[in-house]
Amino acid sequence: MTLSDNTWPANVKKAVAAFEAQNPDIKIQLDTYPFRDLFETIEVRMKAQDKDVDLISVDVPLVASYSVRGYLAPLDAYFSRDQIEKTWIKASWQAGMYNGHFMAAPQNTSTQFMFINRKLFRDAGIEPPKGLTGDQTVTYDQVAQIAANDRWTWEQVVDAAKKLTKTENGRTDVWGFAFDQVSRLYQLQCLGDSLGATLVGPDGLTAQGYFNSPGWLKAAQWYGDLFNKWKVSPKNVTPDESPSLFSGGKVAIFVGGEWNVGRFKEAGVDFEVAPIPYFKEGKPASGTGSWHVGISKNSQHQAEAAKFIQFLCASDAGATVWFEAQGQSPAMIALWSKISADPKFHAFPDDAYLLGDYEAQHTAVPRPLTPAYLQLEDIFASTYEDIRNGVDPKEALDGAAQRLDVFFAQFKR
Amino acid sequence: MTYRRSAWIAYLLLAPALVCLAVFRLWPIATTLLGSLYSQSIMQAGKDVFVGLNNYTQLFRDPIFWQSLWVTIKLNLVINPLQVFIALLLAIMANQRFRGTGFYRLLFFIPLGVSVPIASILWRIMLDPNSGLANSLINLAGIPSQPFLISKDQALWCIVAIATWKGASFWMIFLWAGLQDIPRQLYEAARIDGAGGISRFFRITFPLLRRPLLFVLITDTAVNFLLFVPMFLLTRGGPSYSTNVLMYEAYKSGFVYGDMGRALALVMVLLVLVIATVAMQFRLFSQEEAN
Repeated sequence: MTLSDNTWPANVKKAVAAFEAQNPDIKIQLDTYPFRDLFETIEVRMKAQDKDVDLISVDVPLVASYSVRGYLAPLDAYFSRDQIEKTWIKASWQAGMYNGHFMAAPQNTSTQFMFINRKLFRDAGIEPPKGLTGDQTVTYDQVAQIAANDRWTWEQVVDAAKKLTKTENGRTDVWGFAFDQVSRLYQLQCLGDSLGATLVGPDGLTAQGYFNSPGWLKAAQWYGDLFNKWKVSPKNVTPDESPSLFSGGKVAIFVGGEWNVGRFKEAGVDFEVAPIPYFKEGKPASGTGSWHVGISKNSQHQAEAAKFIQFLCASDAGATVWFEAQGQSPAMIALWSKISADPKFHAFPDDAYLLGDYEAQHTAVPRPLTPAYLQLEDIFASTYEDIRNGVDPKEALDGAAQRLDVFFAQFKR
Repeated sequence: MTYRRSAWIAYLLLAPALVCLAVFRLWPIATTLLGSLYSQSIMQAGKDVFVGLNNYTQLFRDPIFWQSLWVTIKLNLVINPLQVFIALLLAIMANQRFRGTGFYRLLFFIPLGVSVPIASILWRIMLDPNSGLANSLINLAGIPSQPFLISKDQALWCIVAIATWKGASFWMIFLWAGLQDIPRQLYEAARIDGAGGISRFFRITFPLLRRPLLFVLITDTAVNFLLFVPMFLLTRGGPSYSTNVLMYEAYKSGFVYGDMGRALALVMVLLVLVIATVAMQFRLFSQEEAN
């Protein structure tokens, strides 16, 4: 059995080992690929009707795309509706549905935080935003208070980032601000969402007037200004490299996924976790959704594959192994109950999951539902990369919207 | 009878090559052509439907296709003559015999030992606008830092430079072999007759190097029309589609967007473009030879 998976081989291996210990008659062979190659590999292997692939890691906005193109076998036979509703949080299981069928089971969800390097703030004499630090333990209500009342705006972030950026002789040694997944849709969608703008129309297949709406234009202008006008964020840094800038003390404010909490703790950074910012004229919005697992339609071992999904995503043992190894917000209701009751999650840095829980309930906005998500994601990334490199945001967004509509038209035929 | 028998023997001897040509060249072209007439069905998951020339008409209506076509042509107009010229220059230098020749021959060969992906990554580090070696060097000369691969005006030319650094030494080998085939007596005779260096080059070297040059030019052109790795690793077709060659667009359509019909249509356009260019080069060279 082969599991097409992505960048966390060590963590998946722990889950596989636990599964194999319970099921000695099933062996899992892992095929892992770097994040940016995973989607292309899935396309190639599924197009080739590769029978060796049994399980596919499905990035949640791709459930529709993979279902439309016949890559996934429905999981309806293995999970009843009642079981689905009782096992996972609503937003997660709903994202795994297509045309009334359960196509992919939620492995975990995700959330976004603002990470603050406390030493760099102290050195610059700037008061950091109120957040979660190693100095105190917190309850969920206290976390909710911080998220509701003390959340910074993007305007405050820029003001602080300007003061935190240190440039000497034309070379910048410390950058005020950096995004984790630079220029990617998952990372930047919160900017438009904060201004009430959606990327595509309600039919999921219209870009003109949405991708280049006034809200997104403002968001894109702000994004471009970070690199070109205020020069508080570095160019030519990839999403793979960006977190190491924060853990190396080269970035003062970092907006990224909750999976960075463990990484920064391990690196020994003196940091705090604060809620993701929002635009002053808008409302708070955060990213959500993450990996699901589906069964390949060409699999010769669908029953065994389903057994692994039951273990990894729906059993207490499997989901706990995965959560402890990967550290991403769980999609399983039972795990959330465990987190709220465990004192460990009221102390830093694990109390960040309480903030994640708040964001999931109050500010999370899922990615657009469209069968052309692959095109949308790719064009979004190249457009925002262009804006980052100095292309006029209006010109970039108008061109991208026009191009997207050409692709979308194929799905309307 | 004798003629007929010898013709059969000739066909028999050619058969393995013709079979390989049919299986590895003509068959893929035929399936590509056929595949470009199909598109995946949205209504029936996983099924392909016959759409005739629709993939081509969609392509010709797409401004990005025309931009990619222009980028491909622009790249090839510059890179092919440049690589052949530098390869010829290196071959002439490598063909000289004096003290220390071995050392600079070795220098010419070094890029050959570096794979294209490794070369691309090394160049990416050197051309980094924040902390790359290239900007440090030009800063020393008093020139301000350049954006290189993140500028829509510079990225394509950076890729030309990287591909030429890697490619010129490869093509040099063929031209060097060609140069070594030219009898030295011809040069000696020309020298006795009073011919200078330039005259010897245009009257002896160039005419006798015509065949290897034609081979290098045609193969280099075919290779560069399909150039893909630097765009894939360094720019992903950007900034602003300035390095989005047809080959990369075809790759993206097939393997990123999952639209194989569009990808195959793009590959067919590329094939026509390569055939037309190569035919033109053949014609030019054979006309010169006839003259």
